[in-house]
Amino acid sequence: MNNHANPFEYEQATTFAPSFVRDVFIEDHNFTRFIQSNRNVFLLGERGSGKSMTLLYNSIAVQALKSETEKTQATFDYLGIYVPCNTTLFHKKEHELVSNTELAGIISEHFMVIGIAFAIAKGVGSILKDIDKVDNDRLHEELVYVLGADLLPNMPLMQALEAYLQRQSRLSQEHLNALQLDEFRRQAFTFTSLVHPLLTSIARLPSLAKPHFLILLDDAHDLNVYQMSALNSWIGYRDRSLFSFKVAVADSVKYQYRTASGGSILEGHDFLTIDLERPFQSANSDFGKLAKDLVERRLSKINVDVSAEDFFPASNEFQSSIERCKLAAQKEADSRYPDPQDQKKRRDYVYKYSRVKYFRERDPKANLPPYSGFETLAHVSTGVIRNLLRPCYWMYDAVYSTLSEDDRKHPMKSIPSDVQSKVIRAQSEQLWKWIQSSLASTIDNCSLEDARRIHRLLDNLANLFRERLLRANSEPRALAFSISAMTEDLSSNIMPLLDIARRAQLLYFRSGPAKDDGRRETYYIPNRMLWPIRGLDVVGQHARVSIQAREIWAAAANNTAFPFTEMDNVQGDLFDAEV
Amino acid sequence: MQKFDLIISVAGWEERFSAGVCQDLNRVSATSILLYVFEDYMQLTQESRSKVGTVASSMNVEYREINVTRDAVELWKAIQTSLDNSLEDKSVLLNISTMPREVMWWICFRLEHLRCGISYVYYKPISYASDWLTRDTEQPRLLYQLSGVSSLGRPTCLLLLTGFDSDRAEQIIEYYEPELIILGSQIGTQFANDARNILQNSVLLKKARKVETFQLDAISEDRGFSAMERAILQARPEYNIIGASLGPKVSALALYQLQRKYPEIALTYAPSRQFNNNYSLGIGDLLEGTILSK
Repeated sequence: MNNHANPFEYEQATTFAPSFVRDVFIEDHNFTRFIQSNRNVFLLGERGSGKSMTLLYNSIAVQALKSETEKTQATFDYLGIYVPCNTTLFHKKEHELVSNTELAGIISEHFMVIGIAFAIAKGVGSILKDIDKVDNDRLHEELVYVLGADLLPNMPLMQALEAYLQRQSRLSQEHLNALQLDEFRRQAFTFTSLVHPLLTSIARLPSLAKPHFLILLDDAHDLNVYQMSALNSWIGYRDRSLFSFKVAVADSVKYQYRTASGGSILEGHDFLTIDLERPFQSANSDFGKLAKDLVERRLSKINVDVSAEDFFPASNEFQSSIERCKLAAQKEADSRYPDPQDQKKRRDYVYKYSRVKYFRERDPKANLPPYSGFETLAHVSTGVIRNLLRPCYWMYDAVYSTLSEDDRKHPMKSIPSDVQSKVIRAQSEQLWKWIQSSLASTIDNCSLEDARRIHRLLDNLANLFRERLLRANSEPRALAFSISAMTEDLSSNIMPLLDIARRAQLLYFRSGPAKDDGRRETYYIPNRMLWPIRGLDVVGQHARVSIQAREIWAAAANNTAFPFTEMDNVQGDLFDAEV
Repeated sequence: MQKFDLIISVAGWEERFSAGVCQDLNRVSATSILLYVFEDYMQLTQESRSKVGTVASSMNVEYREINVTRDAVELWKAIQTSLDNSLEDKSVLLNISTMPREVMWWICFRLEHLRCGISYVYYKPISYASDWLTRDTEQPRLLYQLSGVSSLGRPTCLLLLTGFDSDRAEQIIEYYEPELIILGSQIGTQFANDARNILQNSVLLKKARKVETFQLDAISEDRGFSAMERAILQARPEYNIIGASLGPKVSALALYQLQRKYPEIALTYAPSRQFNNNYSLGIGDLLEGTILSK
């Protein structure tokens, strides 16, 4: 890896500078109106789906910078307080040693609220630099009184609050580590003793004009059960004029929606859910547009003013072959549907079979097809932003590393298609190797046998999808599956495996309409980076193959191939839509 | 002959466990021996425990077993109750050859609280399994009472002592998502260390934006302590440091000492649920030293 500014940097958003977040974040107005609102919102999506970026973008630091750049007056009607939960403080586990659940809850809540209060002080501090002295003194006095805090007088107020919280945090950790629980309890904070009064006092500042605080909790799946139930209780508050929560959760299965009082918060009533994983990746889909904007925005950071398609061109050979297949499919469609009324049928036929023809007509002994072009990159991402940026990053790096010192001074204009193909194939191969060698030891609670079963299942799915691509008449490019005829016994065998595959980002869970009217069902999309090395078309169709649960288990447990029949169960949702 | 009030070990099925502890009973004078026995491996460790019990009995050394489970709370409680106040100011020898790091750190912490003198002995194997060593790892967690004193608002730095198991290292990195990784690797060529370390680091180096590396010598007198201390010097004021040991066992003792010197550091551990039955073969040289003098 070279130490230059690769525009496709994809590692943790939390390490990015606010200016980088401001510059590369693509604002989705559909999401923004919910985030910049009084509603409680859960942002769901696996790692790399853009949750942290969304929260960071709405934080005070980035919004203030944005106003500064746009030379507009920041209004601060909504003040975003970014609170990361994947920190050492949130990972403390001493509460588990306490048999008294009430005390375990107090310990857990204390560390959570002290983290939130610190983030408030940090965030608000940056916009109170020019606060009127009278207001400052009044707020100082109020905080000393309400919080019982001995705030240092000779430093900016919010810095003094930070110092106070640091001291209290340190003392409480020392007491807890020594299991001096009485001392701990005496100094413990709760939401109502710290965060609520703090927000109330700050909101009274005349310069802020009654702001609404957005508490942006990132990685909330790292909260312990007590912290989750405390958070849910705050989310359940009826009055949302002062604050609301925007909670990012990667592991939505792990997150529990119970409150401290034993009830539950309800979607629609207490909160909204935004799913950041996008089921469709075609050029016209929301993700397709987002991916294009995102890549072009990143390119503009290095002064490259070309379209995403021009920067990542598809191979000429592939493009001309596809064109040839499209013409052949058009001829077939014309003879199959000669009636002038059947224009849609002809169009659908061409769409559906052009790419299929390309894969079917390739010499079985030929090398893998070239995987290149921006469209391929968008599809191979399976709708996850990090999956899109990762290959882009390594493609850029591969080209950069071959440039001379002189050439490096000029912006790169494109990534040759052969480099793209090489990187995609290498990453695909690496992913399969990783399943075989590392899945069991990298993913929590995955035994060696679990890993073997997941490998067998994916391997058999690859064979099934390949068989379908080459032989099926109905929806040959389906790359998703649903499970039918599930029994309790089979479910107890299959679902833990699918959950491991989900946590390893080998499988994405989606919800869609079932065949029966009105019902919805979960369907599963394997990470499409698995497919290039297996010669599959990563540009799938919005269709899913229905597989019986016993066949899934037989494939996973005994390596039994999925039966392929021409008339197998395939469900297309939006006829012929690309996904 | 050095005298100890107590020898503590964790029962294992590897040859170096029974042969090592029996060797200890012969080369030091001990009043009693305490073995923690993981219930899941009760059967697998039966034969080696029996050997140790027979030798202990022939030497009039009191032999005691404490059954433990892998449940962290139960394990921690078992250590607290089995090492009670009667051990105050006693001298203890830890045979750490087959002792999980989590157990080792909690025992040290407890014995330190009881103001005991702590010595250790570690028997190297002749060789390790050539394919995998451990599998099915649980989620990493910070250790009770050794979870450090974090500063609010600071990013995380992972001080990672790497060993053979790059997947476990990867798991810890993925879990904590540190901004900075300080990778420590063992110098020397034992068990093809150099090649394995290079391979591992090439994988790990891609995992974070900031990576620093250093080398330590676990076989040296300080078990790599000063190398670690130097390595974290710059990071200490800026980061919350989490220490993880996947490298040589004795360097985990040095990491413990580092935590005790700098209590803001947290120690983490990810227990494995599957071990290779041929984890190691034979018994090789011993390493010994003192953690706390009386």
